[in-house]
Amino acid sequence: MNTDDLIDFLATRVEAVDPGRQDRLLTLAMAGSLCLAALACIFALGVRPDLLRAMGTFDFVLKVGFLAAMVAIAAHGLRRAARAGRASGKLLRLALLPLALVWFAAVMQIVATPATSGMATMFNDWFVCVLAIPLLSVIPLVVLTLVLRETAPTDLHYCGALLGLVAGGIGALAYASFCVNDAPVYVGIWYAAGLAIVTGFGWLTGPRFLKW
Amino acid sequence: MSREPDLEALMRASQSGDAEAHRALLQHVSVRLRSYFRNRLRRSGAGTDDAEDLVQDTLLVLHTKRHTYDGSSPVLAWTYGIARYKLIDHLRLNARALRNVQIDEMDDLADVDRYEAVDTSRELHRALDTLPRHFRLPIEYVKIEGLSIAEAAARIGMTDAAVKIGIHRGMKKLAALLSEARP
Repeated sequence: MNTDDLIDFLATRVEAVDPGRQDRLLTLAMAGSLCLAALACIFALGVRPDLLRAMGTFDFVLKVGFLAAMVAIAAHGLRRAARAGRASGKLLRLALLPLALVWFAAVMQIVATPATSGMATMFNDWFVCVLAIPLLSVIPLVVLTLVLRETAPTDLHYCGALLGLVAGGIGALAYASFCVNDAPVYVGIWYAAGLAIVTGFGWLTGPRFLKW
Repeated sequence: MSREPDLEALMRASQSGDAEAHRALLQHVSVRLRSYFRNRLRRSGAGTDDAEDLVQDTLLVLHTKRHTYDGSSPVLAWTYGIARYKLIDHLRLNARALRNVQIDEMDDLADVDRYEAVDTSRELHRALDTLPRHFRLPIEYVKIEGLSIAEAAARIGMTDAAVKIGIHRGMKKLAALLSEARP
């Protein structure tokens, strides 16, 4: 086929397209999958009994703030990574900042409180946490992958990792409505591990699921 | 060639449905793409025979994915991002095809089908013929004969919306068909 003929063909009766639609769809998919994941968590596990009281504590606010910051940073990166030809890489490092804050709070708490009480809660149900976050993140992973299929990411490992971090963060936010462990030490280790698992999964499977 | 036109302005116009801007954009970009692919293929030790196929593949992607350009980077950076993606894909498939031939030609029946497809679907029309009617007719009437959406809809007996969807989905299928046919 002659390239000029192809251009003729493509340039006949061109339809208008909406370049803003992709970002709106991504935002909608994230909000929707957060609601779905939260519902799934409430039905499967229940709501923590002391939710209202916990919402006023520093530890809970730090936990939710940490997760929300991770999702926001990764979502920003994902919007860029879903478009061809954007320089990539630096954004994932920015995600270390909220993590560093949580670890700092954890160290402060360990220093301030007697070692016994802090350490006792550290391994409470840790496996539920590390398991539930990846499981709940399946919902955002699937929904966002469907949206990303219409986009044009060119660095599939990187885009997959960001997708994993967004999905892991959404899964963890949903899980936070059930989990009673708010201590920064706990969040800094087990929640971070849950996010890392989903991010790693995204990095590994990006080339397979995001290929276009 | 005279000075580089304002590709970003052309892209904005093309996104709002201006066919002439779209044509100008594709024409300018295809020149850049041709030299890009020739250089890269030569440097990677492959023949430059496939350069034109890659140019066409990339043009098809630029067309079907033009909604993913949002003006936050230059049009050429976006284009080269897609071109690089297509080039890597091409080199990977080529390497795999070579390996398969060396080990056992009858190894993979799926790949045999693929080679046959190469000979038959070079031409746009042949690829178009394989599409189902509700994709093929809207594309034939609107994209080749140049009828309006409403005229095509009346002639086929579909609604306007169905014709638009048929073109959109059909073009994506066509792009996939044409690039799959080239290992």
